[in-house]
Amino acid sequence: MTQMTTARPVVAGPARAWRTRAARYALTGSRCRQCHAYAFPPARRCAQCDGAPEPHVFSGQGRIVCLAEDHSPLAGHGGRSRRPFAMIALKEGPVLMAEIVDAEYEELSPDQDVEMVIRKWRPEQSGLPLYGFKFRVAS
Amino acid sequence: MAIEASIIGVGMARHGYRADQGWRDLIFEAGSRAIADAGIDRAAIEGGLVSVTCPEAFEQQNLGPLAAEELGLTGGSYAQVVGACAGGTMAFLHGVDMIRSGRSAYVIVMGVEKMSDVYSVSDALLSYPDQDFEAPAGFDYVDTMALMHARYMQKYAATAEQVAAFVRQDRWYAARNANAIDYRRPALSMDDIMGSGWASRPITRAECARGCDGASALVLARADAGHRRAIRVAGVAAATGPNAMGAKFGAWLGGEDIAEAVPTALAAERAYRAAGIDAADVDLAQVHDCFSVMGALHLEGLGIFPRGEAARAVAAGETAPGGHCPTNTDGGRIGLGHPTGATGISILCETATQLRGEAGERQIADARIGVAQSMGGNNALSAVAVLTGS
Repeated sequence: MTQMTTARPVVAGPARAWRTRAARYALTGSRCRQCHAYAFPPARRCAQCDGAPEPHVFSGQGRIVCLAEDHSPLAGHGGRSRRPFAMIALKEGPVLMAEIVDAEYEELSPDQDVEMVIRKWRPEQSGLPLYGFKFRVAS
Repeated sequence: MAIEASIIGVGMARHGYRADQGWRDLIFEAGSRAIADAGIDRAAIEGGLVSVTCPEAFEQQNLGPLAAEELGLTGGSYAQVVGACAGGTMAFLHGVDMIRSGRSAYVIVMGVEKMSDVYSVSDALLSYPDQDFEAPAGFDYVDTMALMHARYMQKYAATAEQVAAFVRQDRWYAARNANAIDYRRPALSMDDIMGSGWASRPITRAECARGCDGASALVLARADAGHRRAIRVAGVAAATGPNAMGAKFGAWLGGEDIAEAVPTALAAERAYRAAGIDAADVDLAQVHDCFSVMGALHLEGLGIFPRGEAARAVAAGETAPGGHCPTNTDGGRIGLGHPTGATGISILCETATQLRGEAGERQIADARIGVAQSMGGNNALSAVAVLTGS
């Protein structure tokens, strides 16, 4: 008998995924109009000066800060039995957490330059895949 | 004159895989024991709080009044508290405030979890990491803390074996605690731990907390009520920080990031100030070792060891009986078990038991000041309590 599994928690509806599309697809964060501090995910208020941020599309260029390797991917995130992931410092300053694709853990190291790509994250409740940013070694 | 609070009753339901027991059975077991231990008429209890993190596992919310009904505590003020894995200590903090404010003379605080009913503990807790850009990308707690582990080793030149030493320490204490999932289990070798397979590299499977079933409870009273075996609540405080991993970089002025437990340091500073102590006065500590490296981060946050030194200190035996600060004397999250909603109360049960001198074969000699700390989220919340015995 086949056991049905789902990624949990399931995405409740299309609007939820739609709301984060700019950040997931284009790495759109924010830049403070007043002190020019960058933020990713986009900030609603500047953490440095309390100023008003505006949208900013990041370059997608960054470097690995530290590295780990997932040996127990969650249900719905199959396809790789092991997957490297890292804290990545974007060229502009903000740091984010993301999977590294097209490379194995042993091939990666801190301070390596990486660039953003778009890949599948997890299936939505509808069955359609949710896409978002991952990174690969910079070309 | 300010009202002070004391713990007068302690009760625990054994932590482990208890498939034959529902959440009501577990909270009845722990709550009844705490009330019996307090030696008071249950009618004197005027209110309480119940901590839980995954009530979806048993499809029941609003546990406050339901737990009160189960224990025959009808008529008072009861509510459910959620604070991720720090929820139990947050329930305690607010229970202490109920006493200190003069609102209540006796309060019960409880925590419960039924992890064995969930499909996957990792999946059940997925609503606690960042829900916009981390959990949907497939990262759960073992992944976020694998990066903390990697960063800690990178920043402070700690070895994997030094970080893993927390597991051996936890097993030693857990083997001597009848409430622990690892009760009477044999000692672990470093080869056992490092060879257990990767959960999320550099974290091995043996370095992970054991999400499980369990419950715990405390009865609180005014310190001037004159109860025998009362343990004084000298200080309790909580602090928050960013939950998303990336947001921790640049969040603090001292260059801290994911390799430090800043909210623990902030909460400890406040709790120590209230208690009139400093870290050097602490005789024993319970810290939130949901994964081995987190024990080191929180010991450093509490100021018990200098930054970057805790893993080495644990490996050198400084948290064993007779060491600088015996730690996780109940077996910790790895050896006692981690019923997440109960954990923040369980650590206080252990601290009070030690300060009463009733911890049996794991008793720490001459313990007078104990600290208990729990963490909620990815260091998003930390709660610290200082208890003192007579």
